[in-house]
This record gives sequence, structure tokens and C-alpha cells, in this order.
Amino acid sequence: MRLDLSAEAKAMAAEAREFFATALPDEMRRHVVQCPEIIPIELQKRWHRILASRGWGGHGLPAAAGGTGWSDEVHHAFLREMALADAPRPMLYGLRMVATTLVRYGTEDQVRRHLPGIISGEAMWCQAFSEPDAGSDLAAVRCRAVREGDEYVIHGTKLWTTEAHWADALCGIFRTGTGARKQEGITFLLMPMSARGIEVRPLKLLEGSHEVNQIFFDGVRVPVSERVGDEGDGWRVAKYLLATERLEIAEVGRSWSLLGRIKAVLAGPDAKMRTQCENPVVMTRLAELEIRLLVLDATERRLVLDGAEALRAGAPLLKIEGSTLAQDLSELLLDITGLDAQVWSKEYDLDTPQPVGAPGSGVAGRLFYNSRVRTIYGGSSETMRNLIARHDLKLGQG
Amino acid sequence: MRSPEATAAEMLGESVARFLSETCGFYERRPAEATGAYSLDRVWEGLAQIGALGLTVPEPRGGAGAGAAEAFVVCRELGRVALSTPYVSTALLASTALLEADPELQDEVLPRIIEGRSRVAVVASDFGAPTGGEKAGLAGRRVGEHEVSIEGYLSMLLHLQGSDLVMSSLRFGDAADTDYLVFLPVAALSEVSTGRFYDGTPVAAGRVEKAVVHARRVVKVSADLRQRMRLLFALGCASEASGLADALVQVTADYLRSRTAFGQTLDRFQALQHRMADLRMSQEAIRSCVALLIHALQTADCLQRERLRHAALAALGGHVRRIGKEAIQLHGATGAMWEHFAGAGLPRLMVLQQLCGNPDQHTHAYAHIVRDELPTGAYRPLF
Repeated sequence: MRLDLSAEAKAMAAEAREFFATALPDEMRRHVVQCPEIIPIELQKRWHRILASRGWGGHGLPAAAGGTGWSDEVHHAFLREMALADAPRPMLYGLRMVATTLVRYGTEDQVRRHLPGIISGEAMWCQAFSEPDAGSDLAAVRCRAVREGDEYVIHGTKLWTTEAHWADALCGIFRTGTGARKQEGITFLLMPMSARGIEVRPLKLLEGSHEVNQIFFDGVRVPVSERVGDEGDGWRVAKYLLATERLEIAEVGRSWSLLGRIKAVLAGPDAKMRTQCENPVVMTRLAELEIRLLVLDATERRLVLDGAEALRAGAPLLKIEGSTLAQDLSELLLDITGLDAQVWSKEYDLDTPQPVGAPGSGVAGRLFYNSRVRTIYGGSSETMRNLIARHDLKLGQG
Repeated sequence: MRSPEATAAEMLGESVARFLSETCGFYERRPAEATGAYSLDRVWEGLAQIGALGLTVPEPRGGAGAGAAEAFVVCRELGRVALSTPYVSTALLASTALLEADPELQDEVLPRIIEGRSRVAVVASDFGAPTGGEKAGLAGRRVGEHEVSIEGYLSMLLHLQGSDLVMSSLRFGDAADTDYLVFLPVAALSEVSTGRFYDGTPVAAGRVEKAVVHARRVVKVSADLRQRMRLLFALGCASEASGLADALVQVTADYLRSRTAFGQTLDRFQALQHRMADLRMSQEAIRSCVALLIHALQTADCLQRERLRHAALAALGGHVRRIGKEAIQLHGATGAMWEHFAGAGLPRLMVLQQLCGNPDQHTHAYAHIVRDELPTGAYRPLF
């Protein structure tokens, strides 16, 4: 039941805080604050190179795989400081998901070939899981990979693939067979985005941003050596990767940061905000959100300190509350900003002033509308509740 | 990986759980509770033998020298069987106050507490909820060098029945700003009226008419000690609520797995699965509230402590209510029966959280703290 980090993790937090205070360029921080959902690829890579220059390019990976070799607790302390500093997110799909998954399920050859690019920040990855008829019901994937000699040949489509338009490579799950359960016959494959037969088409989210894509596979050939795990056993690999993604989506540190920004707006010079501060309903909402965040933070910390298995088991729970809370925080920011927040502002074009409304108010609208997807991607809140009911509570299994 | 301390605490928890299930399981004791014939004597004796009553007393004073984490597991197990006892008031609050008392009073009372021969009733509002009714409180007047004359009225005395001592706040007219506690024999109370909460917890009110006691029975209470005792009280209540919430989620899940309706067991309905998932989330949130209170007890900054206490108690209220109410709803009418565990769960959870003040008050207090913090510009996480 302790919440205090170990001395080692505290030292890491202090070291990281000091480093971020000087090494994080102002314009990068400004971008994260103003448009946190979409960080351009060049900024992401630049930030990763800064981390790599400090020897932190492989943060969270075992030393044997070229990583920092930190414990989960130390890594947790590091990620939290990175979020609190308003630094760009770690390279989620490459470092946090593909690399972690390869360390667990990949071959030595795959680790040797793919991890250096991920750790150096040169290789940008995306994750192709969902399909038009397989979203929350992910095991219903139909995008087919047919074995031909030493290759798989892929036909079909993947949907909602975040940052595919920037990625150098993708990981994905493909139907290679059928079994008694639909989770059987799924295979986990890696491939370069430059492979012949891959086409990426942009999809626009409701606030106008280009973050996700649809990918079409027309006879894409992938060597068998790029299969992770056994043929037909990709569901197990995907579940491991998804648990990591869900932990990232909880984003407790970034919610603290957003809460701080809301407070800063309220405490700012805008006369309208003084009225908001005197409004007990607003202050109660703010207090309730902070209390929820504090409790979520304590839950995450307890699970981190209980070990990797506990943390992964708790991922659905953290994902539901973390994503919902982030939405609710953005809604409070939207409400206190008022009508100004409804003025559409172009994504990550921070140097173009808003045509109408208070300067800087555009972030409130972007955050609110963009955050709608947070309770959907990485497994919807409803899917997370299914997992909690089945795995934690053993319901519906008789 | 669990620390050795955490492992030791869980071993203690297992001992307490085993003992409680053998001696005072809910369905075994419920008939006796129905007639008012249930006695805590056997439970109290067993808790003493396990070492739970001297848990937080330092080893040189005859206790186990344990901390808040161990206190949590004992309270959690008491909560799991929905048993209301004076454990928090006696083993946590009175023991803590006595460590600041005159050594002679310590020598007199601490061994009795540790051995299970003494139980202490406390006034709820001294450590938790403000209560209404007749203006209550004790006033003291020094008589000579060694004695104090005390009078006043006490209300919402918890577990007076079965206790031999009362610990109450005390004010002196000549030092109104100074905070004291006094240990009185129960016999010092007159005009005692008794009642009970919906969860069965005995409560009482009574008058103290110019009782003259030795000055050593009065303990000067620093602001730090008062705050720690408030936190211990909150921790005890929250820990019991956590144990009870765990048990209610478990019995409700068991029920859904076994009850058939519309041709299948209830646990196959997704609507019910999702409601159970929400209860599971509340269960973890309650544990986190406990963790926040333990953390507050280990925090030196008194403002930070108070902030954590308000946050934990504000959050606790909503989550325990959700579990208490849903456990009944998901059991159907059978869960609303007095003799059913789910039916006993809600009143117990409500009492535990209301003892610490209602959640709205804590949210309101927290909002004031946040409001005052706004101009500072310092908005780091709390741990």
C-alpha cells in the first residue's frame, strides 16, 4: 500500500526533471501544450534523438536489448517526469509497443534487425490491428495473409492506423487460418511501409486533424522471418502489445499536466477567468477532477509497485478511468474557455493566429473533440469492461 | 514484488481473516445480532491473542511496533465480515493518544488495551464527522494541583456499551485554545441514553456531572497529534470499507454466476458484466483511497496531509455507495433482506463513510484548497 517510490526511482525522477528542464526546446514544449494529440514526426524524432544523446533512447527496454535496463518502477518515474515536463510522448508504436513485444516474443534476429532503428529514433512504426468489421471485436480480423513458400501474401485493409502516413514500418495481425475460436488463426507480422502493394489513405477526425489512416494491402509480400511468434498464435502477441498501449493511454502524468494548465488559465489575467474562479460549481468540478486524478494516480502507482504482472492485469481499469478523466478535463477546459473554444483552429499550425477569439483558446476545442477517440482506441471502454468482467471477475465463462 | 513488510502485513491479515471467519462469520452471528444477544467478548479476546490490539504500540511498551499498513489489514479483515467493533477507537486512537500521556496513565491503560481487558469509546465528532443535536463537549476546571473537575454532555459515543473507558476532547476555560483529551471511566457518565446505527454499531449519549479525576488522565494534544488521529480514524474506516467492498463484489459476482434467469446464468448478460466491471473499478479506487491515507500519515507537511485526507474521503464516499447500492440491486429483492450479507453491507458502508464526514463536505473543503492554490502557480502532483 505504499505510494512512495524507491530511492532509485526518486533519483531517476530528479535526474530526468533536471534534464528535461534544460534539454526540452521551448518550441517543442509549446507544441505539446498547444496541440498535444498530434506531434509532427520531425519533432518526435528530434526529441527522441535528444533522449538518445543522454543514453535514454532505449528507455524501458532491457540492457541486453540495447535499452536502459531500468526496472518498471524507475521507468515509471522517468515517463511521469517526461509527461509533467510537457515533452513529446515517447515513440509509442516503435519503442513502447513493437520493441517491448519483440523483446518478449521476437526472434534474436528480429531484435537485432529492428531494435537499433527504434532505439536511435530513426525508425517510426505504426500498428495495424483494426479493420472495417473488426474494431472492438478485434479477433474478427479478416485481412488475409496466405503462406506461399517463405513468404506471406497479404490482401485486405486495416483501419484507424495512427501515424501510418509517417511510419517507416508496421506491425499488424492478419488472418492466416481458422480455428475453433476466432482468436486462433491470427498471425502477427512486421513489414516496411515501403513494401510493394501498401497504400495509405488519410482519414480525418471530427475536429479536422489527420492522425489516423486506412491501409490497403494488395498482394503485399512479407518474409516468414518477419513473423512474431508462431503462425496462428498472433492473438497472444497482440494482447501483450495492447496491454502496453492501454497503459500508455491512461497517461496520468499528462493529465496532471493538463490539470495544471487549466489552473494556470483560471489564475491568468483574463477577467473572465476571475468570474470562473468565484463560481463554486466550476471550483467543485475542478476539485472533483483533481480528486479523481489523485485516486487514479494512486491506483497506477500501487500497480507499478506490485510488479509487471499486476500492472498489465490492471491495464483495462487504468485505461477506462485514465481516458475518461482526460476527456472530462478537456471538457472543463472547454467550458471555462467558453465560445472562444468553438473557433476551429488548424491542427499543429501554431504560428497562424486564430482568426477569431482569444489567443491560445483553440487548444480547448481541439483537445475536447480529439479526446473523443481516447475511450475508443486501444480497446473501447466497453471492451475494457468485458475484459475486467471476464478476466478479473470470471463472469460469463460457465 | 512485495516487500518483507508487506508480506508480514499480509500474513497478519490472513491470521485475522482465519480467526474472524471461524468465530464471527456473518451468517453465524446474524441470529444473535437479531436479538441483541451478540457479544464481542470472544472476538476481542481473539484479537488480543493474535496481537492485533497492541499492533501500533511500540515494542518497548508491549506492542508490536507496527505501522499504518498493518493497521489497514486488520481493519480490512474486520470490514470483510461487516463487523462493527471498537477496534479503531481502542487499538488505533486511544493507543496513539496514550503514547503522549503521563507515563502512569500509559502503564495503567496500555497493557489493558493490548491484553483485551479494556475497550475505549470515543466521540465520533472528535475525529471525524461533525454531529448535530444538543451542544456537546466537556469542559474542565483544575482543582488543586493534581485534580481536574469535568462536566458536560457527550453525544455520538461509539461502542460505549461494552467499553470501560471513554476518550473525549476536553476544553479548559482558562486555555480555550489548547486541545486536550481526557480518559474517563464509563461510570463517570450519567443520564446515559443508548441507540444503534443501521449497521448495528451501538451509540450513546451521556452527561458528565462534575467528575473529579486525576490530572494524569488528561492528555495535551498537539495540532500534529490531532491531525494524525483524524487520519488514523479515517484510515480505519476506509480500510474497513475496503474489506467490505471486496467482500460485496465477490458475493455479488458469485451470485450472478449461480443465479439462473431467462434461461441462463445472470453473469452471461453483458449489461450486468459491465456494471460489475464498474464495481471492480470502484473496489480498486477504494484501495487507492486507503493508500492515500497511509501516505498522508507518512507525510510531514500538515497542509498536504489535510489535502490528502479530504481527497481520499471525498472519493471514498462515491465508490462505497456505488458498491453498497449495486450489491443489493444486482442481488434483487433477496439482497435487500436484513439477514442477507448484501443487505448488511450498505448500512455498514454508509456508517463507515459518514463517520468521517459526508463526501460533499470533503469535496467542498478540497475545492477551497484548490482555489487558494491557484495564484501560487505551483501545481505539481501530490506524490
